[in-house]
Amino acid sequence: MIEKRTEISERRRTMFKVKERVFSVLVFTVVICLCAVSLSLGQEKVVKIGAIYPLTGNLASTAMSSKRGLELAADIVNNYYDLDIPFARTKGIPGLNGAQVKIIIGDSRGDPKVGMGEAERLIKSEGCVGLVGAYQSSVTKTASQVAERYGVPFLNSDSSSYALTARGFKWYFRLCPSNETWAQNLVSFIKQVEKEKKATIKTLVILHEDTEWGASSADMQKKYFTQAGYKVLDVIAYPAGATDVNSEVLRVMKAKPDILVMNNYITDGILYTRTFKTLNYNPQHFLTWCGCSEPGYIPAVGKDGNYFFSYSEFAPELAQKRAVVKQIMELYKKKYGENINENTVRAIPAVLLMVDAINRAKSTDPAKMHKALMETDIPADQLISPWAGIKFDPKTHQNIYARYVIVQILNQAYKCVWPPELASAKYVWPWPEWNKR
Amino acid sequence: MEQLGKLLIQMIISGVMMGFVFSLIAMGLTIIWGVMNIINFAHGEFLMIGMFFSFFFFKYVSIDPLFSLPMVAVLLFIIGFITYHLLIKKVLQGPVLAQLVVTFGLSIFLVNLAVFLWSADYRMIENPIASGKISLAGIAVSIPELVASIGSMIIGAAVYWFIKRTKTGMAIQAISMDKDAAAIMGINTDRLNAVSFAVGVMCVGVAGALLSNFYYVFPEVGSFFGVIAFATVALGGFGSIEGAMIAGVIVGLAEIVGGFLLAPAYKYAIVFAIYLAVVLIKPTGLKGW
Amino acid sequence: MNIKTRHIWLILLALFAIVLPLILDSPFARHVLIVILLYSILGEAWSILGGYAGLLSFGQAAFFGIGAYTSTFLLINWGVSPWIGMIVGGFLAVLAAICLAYPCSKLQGHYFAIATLAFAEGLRIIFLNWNAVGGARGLDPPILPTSLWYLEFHESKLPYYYLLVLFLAVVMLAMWKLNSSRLGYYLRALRESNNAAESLGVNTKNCKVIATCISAFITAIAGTFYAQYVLYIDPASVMQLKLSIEIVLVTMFGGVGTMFGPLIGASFLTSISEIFRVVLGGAGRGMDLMIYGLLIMLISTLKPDGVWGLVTERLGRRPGKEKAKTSGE
Repeated sequence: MIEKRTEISERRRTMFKVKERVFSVLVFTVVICLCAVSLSLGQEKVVKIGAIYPLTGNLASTAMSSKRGLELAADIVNNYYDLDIPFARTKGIPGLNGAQVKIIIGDSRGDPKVGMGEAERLIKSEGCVGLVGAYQSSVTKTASQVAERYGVPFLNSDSSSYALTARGFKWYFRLCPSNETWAQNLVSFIKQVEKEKKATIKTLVILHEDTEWGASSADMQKKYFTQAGYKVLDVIAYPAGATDVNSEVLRVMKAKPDILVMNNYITDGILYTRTFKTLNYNPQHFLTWCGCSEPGYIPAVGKDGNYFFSYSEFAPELAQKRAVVKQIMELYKKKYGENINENTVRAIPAVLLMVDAINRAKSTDPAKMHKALMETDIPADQLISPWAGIKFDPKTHQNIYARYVIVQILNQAYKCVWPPELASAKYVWPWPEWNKR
Repeated sequence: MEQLGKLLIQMIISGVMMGFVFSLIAMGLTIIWGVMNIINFAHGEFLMIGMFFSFFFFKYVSIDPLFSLPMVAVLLFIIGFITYHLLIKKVLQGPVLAQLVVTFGLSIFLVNLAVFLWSADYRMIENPIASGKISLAGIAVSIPELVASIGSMIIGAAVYWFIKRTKTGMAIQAISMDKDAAAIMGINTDRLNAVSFAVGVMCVGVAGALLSNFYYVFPEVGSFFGVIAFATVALGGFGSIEGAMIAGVIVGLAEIVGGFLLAPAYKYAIVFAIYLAVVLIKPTGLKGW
Repeated sequence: MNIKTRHIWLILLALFAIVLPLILDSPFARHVLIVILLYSILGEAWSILGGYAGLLSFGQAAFFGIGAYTSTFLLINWGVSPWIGMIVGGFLAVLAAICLAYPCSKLQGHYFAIATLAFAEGLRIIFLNWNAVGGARGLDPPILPTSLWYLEFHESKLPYYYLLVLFLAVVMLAMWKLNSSRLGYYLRALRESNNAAESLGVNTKNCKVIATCISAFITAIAGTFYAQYVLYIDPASVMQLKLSIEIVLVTMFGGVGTMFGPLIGASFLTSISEIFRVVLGGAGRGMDLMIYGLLIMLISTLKPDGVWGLVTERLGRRPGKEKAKTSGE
């Protein structure tokens, strides 16, 4: 035993020298890398657009879809594609002597502090002329503050918190609808249901995860449903990523609302679906946000996912009306071997709009880009999103034409049911009870 | 009133069922903790690996999670054994804090290895044998949860028997009571450390395999269960297997019944509050010594 | 090493700290430096508990959050300067520390660790659902014109940097004083053996409470700095368990119970993590954190006393050895 000990300590001593050297090298690399990062100011002759996404952590897959959308958009701008959208048939940005676009991706890890640092790096060290991103509203908040500080446009197409546009920033523009829009859309949809299905809908319960997104969405839903004369019986917050949701569902069952409005992410969405089924909970209907529209949801729950209403920012139905949507769907499928999803679709217009602004400004000068962005008025038929166009509110910089579509899962596929002009299927109302399927 | 009573019974049943699974997770942690006196921060990650293995058995070899359970257990036992020899053994003699750092590092590594190899997607086992529900007098019991809780009970009992009745188990107990005395009595602590680490990892891996019947699988799944497992183990008393079993059920009940009565948002706060209340009265947890 | 050379080293270090951000002039590099300083301060504060008193705390995020929330809340609602908010937050954190440490002082080792964890997580859940402080929505400190009084600097990051350097210097000086003070000896005594310390007449309970209070106060002040620097706080970013664990990691990595340990740990871990993130994070496959985790495992198995131990060994001094042996029972 003792011999063994001394042998080990002998070995440790010799190993110590090696370790020491390894450490010196490590310290050296750290210092060099820090210097290199600080010195590598952008010198290439391409237009760089910075993108901040949570590429590590729970949302990595979602962020990867967005990243592919950005890359696809840049590819469409840089190369010749026979597509019916601006910048496809030209190479590079025409207004800037055909300059190429390059997307520089920054990983936020979903942390506001990291997102802030990333924005600094992308703008100052990488020399990006504008930023897109950042998915989580909390990261968008800090990253767009940096953009505001340096006077660089920040085009946001995937954070929905209403608080973002309420700040009245000069350089922050939101293309996508906010959770305020969603609440308004929901109320209009329910009004329509009451008329078409002769349903009596009076009460609702709002269920939301305890994140910034969940809480602020629930605020808006409570506000607009109450305004429209519905009674909000209860607003239930629950811990995101809970290991079990029995108590939540039982509480909802006790309140007996006509409809249940849910704000949850896919993980809890799966758990809720199973618990609803087990406890045989059947309100008039479920209106969900996000939980049921992520690409992983239907494969995970199979037939049990049918009939849920969900939001979407992508309507494949558009493909029948606009050829370009179909072309892009095919292009994406060919390039990445998977179906395009809403996260991809949301990312594309942010890049295209940035390019459009540079093209119209004929410069990457921030002031000129800002002017161009303010003058933006893109009609719906140039978009692949179901929005009615892009035009910014002069004060809040919210895209006033942004809207959601409401889809229902029918035969394990998303079918657009609202707004009426995009609807491709008749919706099922009321909710078919679990044990009668 | 009658309806509320029904709800209450429903909640107690769900709570106890979930509690048994927590018990098994906590048991694995408490064995490691008791024997080696280290906090294993990577415990939840072994749960994740167990879940992934049973998912892969289902997806690529079409073996139902119930039947792949023994294989998952063996695999996790081996992984635990290897982890002990590659990592834990190296820091066991060193400062306590180095042990913490190693398991932190291991936890970060395993999560991201899973992201790297299998991507951060959410997966779910579709239609395993254990699916559906039993309804009795308005009380619904989900079969996968029932299977998981019965499975946890069986494995838990087996591990309990192993620790309390077999020679190896008794030696493990001896180490967790007094390491030096055990060594003097001629117990090969190194070998038994390895065995108990592997058994601990196996417990949590099996719990993962059972959970995969009804819970989604993704690389960060362990962190949700990991924190609860710490509170559970501490509540029961470090190193106490009975304590872990009882505490698991308490946590399961607190989560569901407490969440319902107070507010779901506070359900984990209730679990933590119970822990604080218990240790203030009995500083070594329910069954700790 | 005699006193004189030590002074020269300290002066050189101070000069280095002053010149460093002028060499690394990109905002990103400065941002990383600020994050490093913040973690160093948090690590020093943890060190008082974990390094001196041998009490493992996994609940530092609670104090950090209290600091960040108090000053921000006061600034938003009554326009109170963060400097005042900082002190108020510090005292509120001390109050919380008393509530936690007084009843928990009889808990041994890991039971104390889990108690701090439970306390912090419980507090986070309360803040997450407390609408008066924004709940899960968080709080945005108002964006005011640059001023020292309101602790907001928009043109440059240098003021934040130098303020934090000053703060760290003060904390380190306090640590150094603590080291040779009566309390310092008491704390180390109770780290080695609670019973032995008690039998020698040390009021262990009071010592533990005081150590927790000092640690909480410093942590809360750092929280205010964070809030004023990032200008957005929510429970998910200032009260998360992940933050508590990062603080522990930074300190242990650098070397526990040493004055420069947290600084070294923070510099090392933050730079490595940032570099890997910038270089590999864009791939979205978790490669950066995988290598990070691997590196942590490697170093802690090869060098269990932390990086600082290596430095002191090199300088021919070995206080790291006995100090790093923090008992966890």
